[in-house]
Amino acid sequence: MSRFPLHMETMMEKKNLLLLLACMALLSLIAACAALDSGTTLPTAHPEDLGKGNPTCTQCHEARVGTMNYQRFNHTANFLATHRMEAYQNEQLCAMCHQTSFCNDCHATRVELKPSIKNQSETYRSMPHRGDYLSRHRIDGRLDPTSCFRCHGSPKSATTCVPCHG
Amino acid sequence: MKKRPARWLVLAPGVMLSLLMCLGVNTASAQQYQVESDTLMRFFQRDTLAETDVSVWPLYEYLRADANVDGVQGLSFHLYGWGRADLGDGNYYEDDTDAKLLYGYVDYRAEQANFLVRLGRQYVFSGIANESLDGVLVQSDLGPMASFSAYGGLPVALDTQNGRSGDVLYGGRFSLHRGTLYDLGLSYKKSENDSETYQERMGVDLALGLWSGIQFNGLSVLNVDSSGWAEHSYELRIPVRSVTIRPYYQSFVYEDYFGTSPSGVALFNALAARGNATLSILGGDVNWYNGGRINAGLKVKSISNDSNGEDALYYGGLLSLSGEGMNEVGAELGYMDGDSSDNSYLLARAYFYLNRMPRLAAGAFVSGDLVYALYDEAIYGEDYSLFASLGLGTKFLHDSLQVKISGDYSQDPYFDNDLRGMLVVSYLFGR
Ligand code: HEC
Ligand code: HEC
Ligand code: HEC
Ligand code: HEC
Ligand code: HEC
Repeated sequence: MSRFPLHMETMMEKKNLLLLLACMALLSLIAACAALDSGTTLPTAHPEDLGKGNPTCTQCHEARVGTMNYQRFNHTANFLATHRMEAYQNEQLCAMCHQTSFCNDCHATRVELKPSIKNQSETYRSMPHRGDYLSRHRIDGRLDPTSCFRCHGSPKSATTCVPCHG
Repeated sequence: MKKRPARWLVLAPGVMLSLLMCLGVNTASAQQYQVESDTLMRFFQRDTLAETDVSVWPLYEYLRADANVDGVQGLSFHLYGWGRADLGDGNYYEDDTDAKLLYGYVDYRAEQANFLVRLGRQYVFSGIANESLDGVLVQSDLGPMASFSAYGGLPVALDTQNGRSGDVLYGGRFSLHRGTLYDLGLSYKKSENDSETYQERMGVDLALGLWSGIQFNGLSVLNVDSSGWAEHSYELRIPVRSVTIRPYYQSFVYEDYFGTSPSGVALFNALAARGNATLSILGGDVNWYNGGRINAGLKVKSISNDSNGEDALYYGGLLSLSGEGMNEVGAELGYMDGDSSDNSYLLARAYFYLNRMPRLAAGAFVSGDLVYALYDEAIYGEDYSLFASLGLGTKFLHDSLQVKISGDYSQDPYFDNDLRGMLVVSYLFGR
């Protein structure tokens, strides 16, 4: 069992070392290319503090401006089910307003609490697995187990499932 | 496999504390930092193999720290983790203590080209990756029309077997884009567990900005290991005044989608063993929001699963009304109409969250939640689940300290008259 994030012995294994070297080489190459500016660098933090509640970007921004399609990022009532593509293509944009810790309530290699338990009093949020999910999950899981695999598909993120499912 | 949580529990806060102390000592050079601590104390009763009505008192601590490093423009440091200790004496958990470091990385951003380097434990959300990585991520634009990101290191999720020897994770995404017209990405990801391929995937994603504000999003994923398409997901978003209509289609092939090396999760390996059975989903959502106080949505989803011959149609709607501050009340109602009665249920939810009320102090709130499910075929002899929760909270010290309490009640196939309580103390400070 490893106890440290970067365990020296294993890190020194040839393959990983090679990989790390390759990454470093790539890194310096990119640094050299950093002159390849796009001219549209995002701010690291959203200039306006939006507080709580799901934002509708187009309330303050035009639907499409320059390289930004603001309409796409409107946090609609269904955003929980649809943010996947937005996140895959624009994680840096999400990071303007969200620390990764925000995502980690639902996306983590291992957390113990259901997001709806950790944030029980934030009832205005559309959390997955609200209420008694233990009973309902077998139906959702039988009909469409694909989303379950995305969040519970690794040995660690399936820790809760193992006692019943092996 | 023996866990070593006790050591971790000493280690994790120790690491965090020393880092915080570094920050404290160097406040002159640390330009800006923020620390957020959430302490959760839960209480409930459970039956264990040995005893009944054992009291469980888990105490959770979630700690997040972010700091900008002075002197180096664009350099920052981020840390997040949680720990738990059961203060009850009932041996409810496998180990009374547990802790995880979710991330701890150094982040560098250049002023140009959206150039970004991250080193350490981090989450990678890119192309087809939704992974926790101990390693490095590099991201940059390549002129105005192209970008890329690449990452490599050790996969955090796969260290449960044989530690980390032979484990590796790497991949990246290259994309071409132009304004809001299109964003076309090509990604690759490979992970190995104990020197065996765990997953090897390629993906194509496309976002197209069409006429009249219509948007197309698509994602296709290829399982390189089995050379089969694992997934196709496509959607359109059609805005018509204050309504957005989203028709979508998804299809999955079991062995290609769920397939990992045998060291993966038994539950999903069993699904992968269903071979080239497919699952297809055709659905649509309609969202109505006019910028005012009403938000409404409708959903229809038709699932056809030929891995087990189960088909179903889900339809439902939700409505929320918001007022001053964060005042909000809402309700949701849906029905999963499965081919067989054991796959059918009705789901209803109603909630409120109020923080602007005549007698309520500034910063205080009350919240409530009710979730009801009615099963067409009883589960363990019970045909419904009822969950109810009430919460209240308030803020002190210029809003940097928040205290919340909540109580939950559940009557369901697994628990009879179950009561749970939780106290949350959140503290945020920074400079
Ligand atoms: C309450 C109003 C408001 C809302 C809602 C809002 N923004 Fe902004 N946003 C601003 C202001 C003000 C600025 C700074 C001025 C500017 O650049 O337009 C800004 C700036 C930005 C920028 C930087 C623009 C640039 O060229 O530097 C991005 C990107 C952005 N917002 C994205 C979003 C997204 C995505 C959403 C929805 C999830 C959103 N905003 C919601 C007010 C808002
Ligand atoms: C302009 C700021 C802004 C941007 C950009 C932004 N978000 Fe959000 N997001 C918010 C705010 C504010 C909330 C509400 C948080 C709350 O109520 O506690 C939110 C809520 C959410 C939620 C929770 C929804 C719920 O009902 O529980 C998710 C999921 C989410 N965002 C994902 C994303 C993803 C993924 C991206 C990037 C594609 C993104 N956000 C970009 C500001 C933003
Ligand atoms: C309140 C819970 C919640 C939060 C917070 C949340 N997500 Fe998600 N996320 C979901 C759910 C549910 C899905 C699955 C949707 C589906 O069925 O495709 C999902 C799916 C995703 C996926 C696709 C997963 C995959 O393996 O294909 C990505 C990527 C993603 N989210 C990124 C983010 C990012 C980035 C954030 C933080 C900005 C975030 N999410 C915050 C609930 C959440
Ligand atoms: C966005 C990520 C995400 C998705 C998608 C997701 N889950 Fe979860 N699920 C979680 C998290 C986080 C927890 C709490 C931690 C844990 O128990 O692993 C959880 C907990 C659970 C639990 C334990 C509930 C309890 O009361 O103890 C079950 C059962 C479950 N999930 C089943 C499923 C099934 C079945 C699916 C697919 C239909 C699914 N999950 C999809 C994130 C997700
Ligand atoms: C308390 C025991 C229990 C726990 C914990 C549990 N499950 Fe289940 N699960 C069941 C039962 C019982 C069934 C129904 C089995 C059947 O259909 O024969 C089931 C069915 C499923 C199915 C459908 C399988 C199929 O054959 O189609 C999926 C998927 C699933 N569970 C996922 C999960 C995930 C993911 C987790 C962990 C997050 C989890 N379960 C945790 C008891 C549990």
